Amino acid sequence: MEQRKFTHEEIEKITESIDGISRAEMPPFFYTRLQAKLEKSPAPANSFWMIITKPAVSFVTLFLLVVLNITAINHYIKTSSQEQPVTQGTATDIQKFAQEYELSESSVYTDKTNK
Amino acid sequence: MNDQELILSLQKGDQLAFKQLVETWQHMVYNTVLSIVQDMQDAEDVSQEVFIQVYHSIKGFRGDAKLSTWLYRVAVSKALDAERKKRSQKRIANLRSWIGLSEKEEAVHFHHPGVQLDNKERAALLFKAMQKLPENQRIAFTLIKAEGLSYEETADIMNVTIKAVEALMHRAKENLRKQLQQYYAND
Repeated sequence: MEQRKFTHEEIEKITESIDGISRAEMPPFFYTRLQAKLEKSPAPANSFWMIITKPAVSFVTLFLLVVLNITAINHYIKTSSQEQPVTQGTATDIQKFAQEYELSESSVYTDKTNK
Repeated sequence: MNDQELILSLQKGDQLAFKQLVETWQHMVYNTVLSIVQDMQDAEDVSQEVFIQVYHSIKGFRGDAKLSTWLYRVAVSKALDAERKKRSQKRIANLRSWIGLSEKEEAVHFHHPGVQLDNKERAALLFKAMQKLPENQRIAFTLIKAEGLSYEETADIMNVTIKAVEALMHRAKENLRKQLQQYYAND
């Protein structure tokens, strides 16, 4: 490109160089080429699927699923470590059950004496 | 056929109406896209995408804006999308050349076919500088200078006030001057 000397005047000329520019014309037979492309191009998919298949939405969904899984696994590990041994737990449960339904020997005896 | 009749025919799937739409607006769409993407082949491809989108989405057009305004919006948005894609491809190509996987491509000056011969060099410098403008300033400058639209029409297309367009044009000119000064300073 030809070397031009820097002047404010030259810069102004450059910024005004496309004033009054003629419109570029589309090459001929555009409609024919467009028709061919239009026949090849499928109609846009349903907007729901368009949203779902967007990479950003897919990544966010995947991230949320991973976070939910990690939270669920953490919760499971915590609760299972806090649980008492199975035998002890079973015994307590039976005692509670017996108390609730007054199945202990003393209660039966008390009932009888009261009658 | 006026705009309203044309839209109704297009919404009914009339192929002749679509042909009329394309033939009426093809040069406007092409010139707008070309001024942004600055490559003849890319401009034709993007123009095809513009009309394909119009063909598929005309049923949803409610007539809030003029048909030409809507076409300009679609054209500008598609052209900017293509430009972003091209820039990211260029970055990858630069990276490849930097690590020695490919040779560096030489930058080519864009010559708009509508520019007069005595202004060809200056216009090429201006188009190069326009690529570095922020998007809104670039849209306003392109629509007003390359498409010859009024500030009012540009404001409608950009969905902003006329004052905002004036401000965008002012800032665009300032930025272009700064870039050109830098160009001469580095030369």
